[in-house]
Amino acid sequence: MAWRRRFVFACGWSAAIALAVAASCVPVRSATPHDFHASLTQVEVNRGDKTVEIAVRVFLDDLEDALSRRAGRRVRLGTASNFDALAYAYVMEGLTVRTAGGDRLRFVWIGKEPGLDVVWIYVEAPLSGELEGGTLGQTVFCELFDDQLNTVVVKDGKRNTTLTFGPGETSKPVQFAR
Amino acid sequence: MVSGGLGLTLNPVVPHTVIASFFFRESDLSTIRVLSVVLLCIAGAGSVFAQAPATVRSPREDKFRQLEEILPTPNTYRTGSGAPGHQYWQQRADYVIDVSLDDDKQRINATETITYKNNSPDTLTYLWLQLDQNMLAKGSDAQLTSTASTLERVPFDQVDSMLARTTFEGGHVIGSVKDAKGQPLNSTVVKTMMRVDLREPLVAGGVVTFSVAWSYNINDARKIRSRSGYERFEKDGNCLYAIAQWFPRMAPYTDSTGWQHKQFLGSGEFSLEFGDYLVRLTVPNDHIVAATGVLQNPEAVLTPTQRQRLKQAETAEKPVLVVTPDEAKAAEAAKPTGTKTWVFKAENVRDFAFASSRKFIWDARRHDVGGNRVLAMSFYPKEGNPLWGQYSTAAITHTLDVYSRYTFTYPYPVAISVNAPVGGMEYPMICFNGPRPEEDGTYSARTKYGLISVVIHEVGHNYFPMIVNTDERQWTWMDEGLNTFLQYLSEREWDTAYPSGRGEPRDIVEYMASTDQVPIMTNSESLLQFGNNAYAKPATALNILRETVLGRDLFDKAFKEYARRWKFKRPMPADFFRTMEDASGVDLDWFWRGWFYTTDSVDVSIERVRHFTIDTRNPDVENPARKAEEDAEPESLSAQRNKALPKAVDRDPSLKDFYNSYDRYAVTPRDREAYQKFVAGLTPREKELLQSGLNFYVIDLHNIGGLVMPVILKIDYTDGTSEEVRIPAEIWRYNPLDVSKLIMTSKELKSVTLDPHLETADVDLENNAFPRRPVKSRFQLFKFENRQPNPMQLLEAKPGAGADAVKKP
Repeated sequence: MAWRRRFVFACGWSAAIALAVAASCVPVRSATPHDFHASLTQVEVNRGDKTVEIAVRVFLDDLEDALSRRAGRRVRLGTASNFDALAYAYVMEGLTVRTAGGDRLRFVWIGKEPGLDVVWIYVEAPLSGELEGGTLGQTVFCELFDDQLNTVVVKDGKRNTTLTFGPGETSKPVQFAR
Repeated sequence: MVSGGLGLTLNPVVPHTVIASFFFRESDLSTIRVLSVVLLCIAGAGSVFAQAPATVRSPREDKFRQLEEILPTPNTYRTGSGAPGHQYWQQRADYVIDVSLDDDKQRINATETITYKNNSPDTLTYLWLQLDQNMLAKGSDAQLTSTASTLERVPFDQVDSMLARTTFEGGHVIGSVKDAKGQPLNSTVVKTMMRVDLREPLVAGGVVTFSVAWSYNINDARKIRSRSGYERFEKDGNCLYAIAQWFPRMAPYTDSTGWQHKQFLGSGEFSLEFGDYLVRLTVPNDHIVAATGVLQNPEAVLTPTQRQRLKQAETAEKPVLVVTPDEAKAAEAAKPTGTKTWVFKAENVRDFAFASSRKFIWDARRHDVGGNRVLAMSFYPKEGNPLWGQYSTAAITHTLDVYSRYTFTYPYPVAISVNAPVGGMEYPMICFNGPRPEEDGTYSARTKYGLISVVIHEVGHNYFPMIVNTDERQWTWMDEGLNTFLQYLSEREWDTAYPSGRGEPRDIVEYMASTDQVPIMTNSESLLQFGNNAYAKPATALNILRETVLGRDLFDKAFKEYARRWKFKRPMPADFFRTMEDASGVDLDWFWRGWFYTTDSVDVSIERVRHFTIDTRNPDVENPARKAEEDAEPESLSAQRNKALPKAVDRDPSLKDFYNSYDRYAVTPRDREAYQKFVAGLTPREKELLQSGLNFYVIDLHNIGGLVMPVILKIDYTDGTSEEVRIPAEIWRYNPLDVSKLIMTSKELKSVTLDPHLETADVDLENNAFPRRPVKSRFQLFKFENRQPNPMQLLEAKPGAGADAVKKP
């Protein structure tokens, strides 16, 4: 798989270029309607079904961009036959949910729902422990855009909290507002 | 003030509206209890109850507190009405620029002469100019202050891009700064700004002329993302240049800010002065140039055929190809034989941008906007077709029509859209837009609507901030928010099914529900979630203001007044807030305060609905009713089991006395007499009310999200009818947390829905109904309506496998 080789390449170089990158990324936001890098993730505990339900909203062009770079070819929604598989693998890599007991939740693909410029991705995991007291990370696109901002809203019944992840922020504790 | 045993306190109501003392009975729609006395206030169905004082003792935030304490004090430059004051002033800068584009080295070489008019009442000893290209210079603040990316899985071309940024020799190289006599002036570059020290102080009303020579390397826009740059097409080896923020521009000097020389870090766009431009652009002689302004020398740069087509376009109803795809293709394959100089003039603009390439196809058509004859034009490489030929110019003329209707007539002679390697970026009369079809000539709906939307958006920026000249370095929402709002209105007029991304209240809910935010009134460079904060939220707020708070007539009048007042002037946030109130006649301080100065959300809950009926006090009616209520109370389990036990009073009847057969609901002659006496003392109107059979429903509302908003209630009755009650936000003015609304009706209430048309961006719909209705989350809706095979199945192509077949990835 082409993207794996590039992945390894990038890893090998990462230490060497770390300093240079820190000093070189220029956040440029032009005045286009959606040339900003943001994602939204809703994490909700479903006590009835004993599951954790997750909806991730990403900009479609960002996702296609990310998948294309990894696949080493043009990956477009609607034309790439394995789009879902690639999207699933990619999004799951960036999303980490660990329960208070330290279990990393394993998510099952539920589906995707494309809008005009965004796509919602739905995944689900069995609730193997409490989210509160555990940790959560959402680093989707952070390797591509230095202005990427990932917002995660976690809901457990009436309790909720919002976590925000910028580049370099990989994991945060989940603590509901009192 | 009248109070009763219910624990409710009635609002102060004009005393004479209290007409009689009646008894009420309350039920919570399932059980019925008789309650003690309450007085009825006949104030129409609009009476508002406040909660009992005990529940609201903590200090309450006054959501309706006036904004005067936050907004700047009005003065002779800016009035309290939001209009420019009688001594309003702004500076003026006219430019004459000679520039040459080096197509071999991708470089700009230029000189400019700036004539600066000091209209302020102040004496200036130095001037500040903006050097935007310095943002791309090595070691710029933009680079130094950017934070590290995640380095775990960086793709190769990303590394390439990162390296390009560090090695690029960007930034303005200033050759000279001279006065009108050609003598050098002292100048100091401070990052993205340059101070020029004047030889003589520039007094109020004075004019100074000076010149600057400079050059810079143009960035490869595919590697170094920016608002401008060049794109090299590998297949034919040609470049397309989109050139902007390319000349040292006067920083504004204003009544509210002084010199606006806040450093450019990449997000806060520009703050500029109006002026006239004469620009001579020297480019390879096979290039086609699009620029701000009107071409002055078509005979020197266009072929006779092109000139004739352009002439034809000036009266055409459909776009005319001034340069055809075939001609552009032929130019791609040839080499230039020298240079040509294109001369453009632009009047009363705040900036100047241009695009140049031999790849350009060019279409143009005339379009009349409110009596102004405009030439709408598009420039694009063949890679932009088929989309660009069909939609770009059409989107321009549509934008001019809609925006002009909501603001003022488009005042410029041309409006241009160029396909360039940026997402979308606006300049006066010209904008750069990115979307292109696939290489095979097909395109997705997303690309099509993406193109139309971005052309609407960027052409729309002519109104805000190119003409209503807001300070983008300070407040992004003032142009992006207002422009996104008008973009939404324009999209709604393109096609009923147009997939607008921003504008509908329901589309902002996810953002509003998150808590880690900053208010709209945050400086451009410090905004979190730029797109939601400065585009979507203000656009949605304005849409709500228009549809739900003010109504279309009042809003449109006020919005147009704001645009008219500040056309070719420089408004600040207060001028917008004040004008919208001044022209609509509605105090909106609560709205600005909530939506623009806080991160609160709309979440109103129907806590409960209480039912009251009038106690007729007729013992022949009320006593049987109360007995029926008592009988209807559920029998306890013990009572049921004890029923069959033998009882002592049955074994020995002598144990029974009067009380064993006493019926406390039996009507006595004395009861009837008392009732007759009561009725005799009533006026005919009071008797009528007593027998009206009215139901009184008290709907208790709780504000969880913090934003106060109008309350829209849909009430369904058991007879199948329904009604809608629209209550202004002022219902919250005494108590922003809990209010109760009384509904008086002869009908029986079945259910109540809050915000039935999803017009307030309420973030939690589950508490918007009485009785509660479960609301499926986005996840659940999707899961139960669209079950799909999982991607592992898709990947491994196992036919017939169900969605649950694989549990672990």
